[in-house]
Amino acid sequence: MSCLHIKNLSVKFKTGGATVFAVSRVSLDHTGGETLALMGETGCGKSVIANSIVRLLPENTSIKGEIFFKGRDLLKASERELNQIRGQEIAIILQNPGLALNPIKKLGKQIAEPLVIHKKMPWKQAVLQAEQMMNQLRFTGLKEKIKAYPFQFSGGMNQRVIIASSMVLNPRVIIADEPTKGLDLEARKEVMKELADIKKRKGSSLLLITHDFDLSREIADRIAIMYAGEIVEIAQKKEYFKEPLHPYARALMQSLPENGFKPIPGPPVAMTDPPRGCKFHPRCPFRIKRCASERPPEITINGRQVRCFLYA
Amino acid sequence: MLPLCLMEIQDVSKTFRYGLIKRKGRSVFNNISLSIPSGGTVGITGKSGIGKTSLGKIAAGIIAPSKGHVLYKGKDIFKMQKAEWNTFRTKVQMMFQDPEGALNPMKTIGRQFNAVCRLMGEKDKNKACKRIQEVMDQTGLSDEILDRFPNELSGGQNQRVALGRVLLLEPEIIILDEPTSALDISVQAQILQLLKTIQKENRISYLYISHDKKLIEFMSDTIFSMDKDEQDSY
Amino acid sequence: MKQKATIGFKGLLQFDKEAGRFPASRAGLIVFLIFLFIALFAGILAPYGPNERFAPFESPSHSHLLGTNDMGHDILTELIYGSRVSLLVGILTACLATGLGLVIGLVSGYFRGITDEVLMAVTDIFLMIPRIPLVIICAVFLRSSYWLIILVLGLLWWTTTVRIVRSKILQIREMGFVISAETLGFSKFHILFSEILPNTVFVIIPKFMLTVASAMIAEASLSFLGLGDPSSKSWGMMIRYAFERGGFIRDMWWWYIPPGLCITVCVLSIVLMSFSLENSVDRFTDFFRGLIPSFTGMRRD
Repeated sequence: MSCLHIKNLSVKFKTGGATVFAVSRVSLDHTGGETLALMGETGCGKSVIANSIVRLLPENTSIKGEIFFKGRDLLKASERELNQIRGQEIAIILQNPGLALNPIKKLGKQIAEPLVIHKKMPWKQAVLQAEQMMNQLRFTGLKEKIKAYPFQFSGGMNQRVIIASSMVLNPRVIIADEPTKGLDLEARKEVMKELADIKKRKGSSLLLITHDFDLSREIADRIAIMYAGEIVEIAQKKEYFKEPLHPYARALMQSLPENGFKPIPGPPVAMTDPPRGCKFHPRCPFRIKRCASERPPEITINGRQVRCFLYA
Repeated sequence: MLPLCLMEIQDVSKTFRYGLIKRKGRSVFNNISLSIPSGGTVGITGKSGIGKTSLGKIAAGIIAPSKGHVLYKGKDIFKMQKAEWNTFRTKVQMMFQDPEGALNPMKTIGRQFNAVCRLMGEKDKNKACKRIQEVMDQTGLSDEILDRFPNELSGGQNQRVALGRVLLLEPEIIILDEPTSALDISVQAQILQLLKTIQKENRISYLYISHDKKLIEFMSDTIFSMDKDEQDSY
Repeated sequence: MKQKATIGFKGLLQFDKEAGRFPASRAGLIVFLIFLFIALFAGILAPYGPNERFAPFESPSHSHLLGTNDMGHDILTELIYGSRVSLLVGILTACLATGLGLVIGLVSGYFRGITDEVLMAVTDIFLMIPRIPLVIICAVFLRSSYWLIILVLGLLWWTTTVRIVRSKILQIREMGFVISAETLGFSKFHILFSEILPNTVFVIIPKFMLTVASAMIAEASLSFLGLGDPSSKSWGMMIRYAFERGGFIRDMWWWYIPPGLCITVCVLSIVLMSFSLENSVDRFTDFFRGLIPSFTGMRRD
């Protein structure tokens, strides 16, 4: 079983003259076999963390900190080592499944491709194994699906195909970036089921990046909430949904449809000019003087972690 | 309870035809009827792809129905004279799902507001500025966005700008096609509250389209579901 | 801080700095600006007047860096003044061709239907007409001059621009802001020229530049064939005279190589510039958007 240890990760990059502080000193432990949901809204930095792990960030990014995987700091690994790790040991499923599939190649071949490249398997064998994998996806009419093209399927099915693709090499860690984004209810349910199944069958660790609370309620073990580049709360799923501790987490839950769409006052944070001290304090109903000048430390309460002075 | 009926959609069907010689038809929906009262919200819900957006566009007069009529204050909008149509065009507006897509990427927000003021015939620069300021206050926008371009603003801000632009025309009906589905959860909540406030302050009717049942229930007085063509009143 | 109203020379330099990642394009920009500068300030830069005569067929020396031609004119002076003609013909042709192509493409793409069909049919007809032979034939019947070249080439070259503009318009007209503008009640004219046109810039400007380049080469070829105006010589005409009046035979490379080199380098600089524009659309967009307030419309104070 593998672990991902992220220590003090900070990521910033320049766009059009301004610097965006995407991630600020994030530390996270992802234990083997668990499903950790990294949640937050646009701009909070969750996708940036995912891309940092597999080093898929654009060139003008400055990354500080360490990401340990199986004892090695991924941020210091060479491109060659990373190519070995990517796909085989850490798989990443990116957003927009339609774009990840090559529209002019048959599906069967695309699923088989990682096997041929990484494990140097002959094509025929690889396609057979891909077929098996698609079997497990409970696609009906098997033979046709292998020979089909991506455009013949809906978004949900394509997403499941991508997931199958990423499982083909039995990676230890799967990072799924917004797997249900843009999908309608039916497709979302399919994808949720798929991920839950994989969890049971393979026991891989899943780092789930999402803003979909229904999804994390279904399949997550732990939930980490991010705001403006920092992790503000980490808790076991049940405890989190019973009672979120951090003011942002609480306010976010109140904005959900089932809780009446209650808005959080104030505008979202500008990532080029974040507030000093606690990033959430301008919008926080519980703020005190300290919040504007000091960054709250991570406080452990009952096995959970919260970054807020309320619990100091 | 709700008085004047502003818009009536009568037995509207839409079939999209394609092909040059043999015109094949794809029927989107058939025989839909509903009415929009003054100051209230009618919600339209249903699965994706069922034709909600097409219905909204027909109500807004952007596309024509294959069969049926859309009456605005008693008159069929597709048979109106120019002057009547101009009034209709001002009073019935639409907001779309993609916030940034509704704005011209090459123009600053200020210029886009200005253009609408000029459209209204407002030649006095001071009056136009005043009107723009009012609308910006109502939608919660700060002065500094006037010099920005749409791609420099967040989704929530862009949607507020789109709303502000529409409000400049002082509409009576706004047709909203999933205006919050591309937004974050907390921003969505803010925009929904904003829409409700503005509805009360300006006495505008909404035709709200969404596939999210809870959202529709939150926003609407009456709900029309296109899934089974049944009507529920709440 | 956002890059606003970067107009004028300062704007070009700013744009220049940000084009950094493709040094070839920066070189292209600088070289082209140099040529432009030379063309604009030819009077000051040229060592002698354009009609001053000295001893003919002289080799390069201190007083005549590129020697003199058959009529005794200083070749360097001719070269400098020639830049004016070559650039002007190229730019005017491109203006005419791109302008026509833009308007026709806009109308055709936005209104579609019969208008579109007719305009595209007309385009196809114009595409079939061979350009250079037409110029030659016209020159037989009319006086050969640069205006003839500009008119004929300009009136035939809009065809490629039309196709590009039209396909971009077909894309743009489906976009949200166009439908929004229609819903808000803007007139079709306003939508076409105020909303859609600014969004065609990324397509138009590179095409314009490439048309300038093509026009300069075409003009050089036609001038070499003798269709230019002998009183104001372009680079192409210089080469022709070098050929005709004994420059080649006398191995006077300083007469025919410099103008050829100038044409090549100038065209290359334009092409490099246009490639970089296609690559760095974002920076280009910001640069252009800052210019728009100076073209049209009110700006809130």
